[in-house]
Amino acid sequence: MVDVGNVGVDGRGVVEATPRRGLRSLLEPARLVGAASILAGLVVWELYARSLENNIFFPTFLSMIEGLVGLVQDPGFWDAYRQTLIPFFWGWVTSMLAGVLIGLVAGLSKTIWKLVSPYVAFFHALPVSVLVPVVVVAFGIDLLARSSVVFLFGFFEVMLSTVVGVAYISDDIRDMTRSFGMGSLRAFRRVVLPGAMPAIMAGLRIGTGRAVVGMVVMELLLVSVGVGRLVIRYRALFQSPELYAVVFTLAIFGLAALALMRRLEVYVLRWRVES
Amino acid sequence: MTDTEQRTDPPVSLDTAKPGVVSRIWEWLARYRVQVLGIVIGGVLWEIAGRAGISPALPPISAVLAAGGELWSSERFLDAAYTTATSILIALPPSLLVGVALGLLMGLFRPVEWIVRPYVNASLSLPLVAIIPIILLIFGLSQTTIVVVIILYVLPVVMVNTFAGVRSTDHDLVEMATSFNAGRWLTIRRIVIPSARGLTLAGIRIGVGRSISGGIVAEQVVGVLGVGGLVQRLGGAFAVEALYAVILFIGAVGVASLALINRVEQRYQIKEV
Amino acid sequence: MIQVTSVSKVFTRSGKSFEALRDVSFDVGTGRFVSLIGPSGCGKTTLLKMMAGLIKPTRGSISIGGEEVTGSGPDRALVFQNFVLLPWADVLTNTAFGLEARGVPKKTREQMARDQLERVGLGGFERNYPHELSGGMQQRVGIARALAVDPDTLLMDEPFGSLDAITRNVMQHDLLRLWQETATKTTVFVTHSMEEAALLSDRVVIMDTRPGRVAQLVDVPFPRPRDEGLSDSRDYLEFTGELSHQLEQMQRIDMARSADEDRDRGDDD
Repeated sequence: MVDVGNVGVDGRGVVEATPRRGLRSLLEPARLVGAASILAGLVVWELYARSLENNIFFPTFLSMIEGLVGLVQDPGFWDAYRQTLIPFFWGWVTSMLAGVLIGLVAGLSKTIWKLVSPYVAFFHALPVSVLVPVVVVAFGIDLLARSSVVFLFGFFEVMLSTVVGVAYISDDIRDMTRSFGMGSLRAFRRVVLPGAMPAIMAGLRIGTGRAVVGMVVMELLLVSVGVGRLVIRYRALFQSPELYAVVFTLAIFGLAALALMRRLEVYVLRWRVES
Repeated sequence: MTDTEQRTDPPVSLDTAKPGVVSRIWEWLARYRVQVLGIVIGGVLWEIAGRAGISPALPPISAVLAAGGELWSSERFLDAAYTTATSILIALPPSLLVGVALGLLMGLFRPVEWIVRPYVNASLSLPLVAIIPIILLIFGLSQTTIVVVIILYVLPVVMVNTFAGVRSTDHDLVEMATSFNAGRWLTIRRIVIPSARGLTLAGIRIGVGRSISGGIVAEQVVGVLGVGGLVQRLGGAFAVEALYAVILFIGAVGVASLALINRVEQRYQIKEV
Repeated sequence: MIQVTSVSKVFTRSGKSFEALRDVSFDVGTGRFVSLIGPSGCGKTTLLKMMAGLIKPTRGSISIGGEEVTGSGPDRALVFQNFVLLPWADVLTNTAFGLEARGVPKKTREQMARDQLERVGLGGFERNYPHELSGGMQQRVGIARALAVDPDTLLMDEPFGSLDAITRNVMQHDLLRLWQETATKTTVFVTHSMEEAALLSDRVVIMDTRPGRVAQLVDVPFPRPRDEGLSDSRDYLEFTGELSHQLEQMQRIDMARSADEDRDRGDDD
């Protein structure tokens, strides 16, 4: 018979993987087959790459690992990352803070929201990367410019999630707090904010993912002293194992940042019962 | 009851022979009057700030629209728009079809899900932009790079949402079908696939959005093709007014395509009882 | 003829086991209308699903017409409490669903569905969609769908439980009339309401809960054919009053018992 299980879908329609539940879950058939699938993929990669005449465009998996090891031992690599992570950090922190604060304001006041919503809709539909040349014209390519790019990528997502989270605290609940004579500030702290927390935490998580994307876009589009410089160099020199390795480290960084935010989300929301 | 209701509509002339379209536009403006006000205020502020010369990066909106008028009919713009449009139109249909098909397979057959899931999850969790240098290395400064990037952007999203749609099928309906001895194929056709419609369309909507953003960011990295390339070049030449004009154009296309797909989604929404 | 013989059912969920039914036995005569009634959790729906072949008993067996029930079959049809209609299909398609499952060609099954819709009083609504219909009308579609496959046995799981009181009344009387006049099939009917059970059935199986088991078998003394006026008669009110009271007692005892258990287990709420 047809098997229909349960999958979680967040507000943006993107499916999130179910949270891991300890080591025992590693033995579940789903996990085992999944791991085997990745392993098989790597084997196919290796074999296919070996069958090629030259590996300029498509290095073997093992040579990528070799390149990775070489990079890790190269101080220039870590230097490049440091140069990249500083603007990432500034952009990320400011986008999270500004996103939540402005989101709260816009969410609480229906009037402000209505005034602002055409712009939000516009920027929501716009690919944020096209704003990068504007940032360059405005700020050049210094730390401020680079942080701004990361900021722009993270900000909209966090703000939007926060607004939605606050606005959807039903009117009934607001009426209820007022009927008990609860002051606005208290109602906000005890009812609205906790109620909006899931949406806000999800927004922070997705926003972090976007900030990482912003970081990579920043590296690729702005002449840089960071990881982008490495990318350009290896591509120009056709050193594909190193290029793939750098891309791999970017991917790992992104996954790690998301994993951390997911942990944080689960921790903050630990009183929530999964429905 | 209607006499005591607050009339929030603006006074409309008693000349009821007005054509339906005008009164409909009037009605729409009235309903969204705060938003319209917001747009107007924003536009005014923009013009003032631009004229005041706060920053070379902020030209007045009048200058932007003037540059836009020139630009939007120029050959270089139309050329670029055509390139971008063709990249998207080449990449989207196969991505959507394969994405929905794979999503259905994932949803219906657990083994398929187990095998494919790690790849799909990975591509949604990591910064997909990072793959662009590699695609660029392989396919060079060509439209093929753009098309491949778009496919990689769209495919996982459509797959995962279609999969979720299949899994969202109401168990009760499946149980009912079993009680009537319906075969597997009938259940899939009459129950699972219609159930999946909502989330599948959401996935398509997100996929279309990503095709635009993925395509443009790839073009920006490539630098010489399409609207993305145009944006980079205008920025490099400090042609700010034209740059803004192109950005407005891109935003407008994004908003319009989103609205269009939303319409389709509404029409096919499963009417909850 | 349905024979339930020493049926027990134990559900295990994440290590914990839950005894839903213990040693249930009773018979349903051919062409008889039997109600299963009892407080929440007495396993009456589980029992019904076992008759439908959707769940297997842990011990014991159910046989229909001498043959043991092993899965769903064309001789039985279910009517669900939540109607369970396809929201995206029109009334005609919904009614014809069981026939479609059986491979009946389109023209034929649509005609058969139309006939059933007439029977339940929904002639003319073929092209409507479920969300356009009231709860009572949707359930009529559910009944029409079940009748369309001409089952030997009709299994109804609190079919009027989701309806408001007035609609419920109307539906009960309509079902009584329909069953007596044209659809005198073996019927097993799960309900919460003694009034409903007494009006419609020949026999009532009163079940107790935790674990689910048969408490009492009561034959309904009112002669057939019955009419709507029965619900006002003195005998009926006495009969149902007495049994409703018993049911209420059972429910209270169960609620008190579960509160005790919670307390002993250390849950303070």
